Amino acid sequence: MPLEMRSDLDQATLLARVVQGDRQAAEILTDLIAPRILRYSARMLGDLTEAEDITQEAMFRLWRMAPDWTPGAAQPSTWVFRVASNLCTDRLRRRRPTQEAAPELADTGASANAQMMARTRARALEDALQQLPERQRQAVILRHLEEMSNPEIAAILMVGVEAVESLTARGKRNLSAILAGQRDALGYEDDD
Amino acid sequence: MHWGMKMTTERPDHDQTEALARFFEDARAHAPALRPELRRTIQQQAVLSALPARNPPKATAAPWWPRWRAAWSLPGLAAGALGALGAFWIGVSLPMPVLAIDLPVWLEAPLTYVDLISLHLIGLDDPLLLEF
Repeated sequence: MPLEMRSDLDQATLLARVVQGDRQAAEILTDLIAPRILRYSARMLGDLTEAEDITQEAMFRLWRMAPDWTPGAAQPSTWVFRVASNLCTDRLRRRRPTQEAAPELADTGASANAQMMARTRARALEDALQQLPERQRQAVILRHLEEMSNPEIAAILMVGVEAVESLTARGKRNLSAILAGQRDALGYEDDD
Repeated sequence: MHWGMKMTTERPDHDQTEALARFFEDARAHAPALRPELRRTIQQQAVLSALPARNPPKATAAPWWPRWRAAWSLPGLAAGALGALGAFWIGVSLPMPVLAIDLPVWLEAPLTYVDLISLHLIGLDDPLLLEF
């Protein structure tokens, strides 16, 4: 079944089916939630291996608490995002004394095709994200990369919608400042 | 914000937003994907975590008495011994001198021994024989 159709299904109902041992429901929920958690964690931490650990742990916690799930409380995906968010925060706190990776700028002379250039830009943005304060980074990733609504983000970050708007706006401003010097180097002027 | 200032800053802001939107677009297009092995592991975890709910372990309640017996055997034994001693003292030692009057002669000697022992233990003979 295509994902577009699956996303219409109520996640809480799917979770209840997982508890009954429905393998297909588990597959659908995994496909709905796990890739987003992986992307979010990878961007939060800048490390794919750690992001995979967090995805597995967050999903495992969802399965474990599935029998006690209260229908109508929150979407399971929101709950998993909250868990992943806390796990990311824990990891970031643990690694804080070490220097975070500096952005690796692209060698623009060597990037021949647009595909490689686009990948380099994506990498530049993800490196720039690492320089944002944690809360701003969370808000920007969820709003502009996961394309969630402000109320959804507010539920995940456990803050008000106004706080989400403020975090997103400040995050974007900071990102613009960080990336300002790289726009020409990353070929955006050539695309125009 | 001063109107003149807004007019001069509007265009760069717009450019910045547009440029950032393109960065976001490229990042979305090159996002990391879930590895099939990890996907499979997560699904297996779901199935495994559902197993206890589907097949709850049968309640094999052990009979209560072996545990009860094990817990109470020593205190019970001690209480029994103490009770027997107490009963002997109340039932035999205390009234013994009175009974001894009517007892056959051959029982006097053993009962005297018992009386001596109980006298040492409680330090008091039968109050009825103290001649208050």
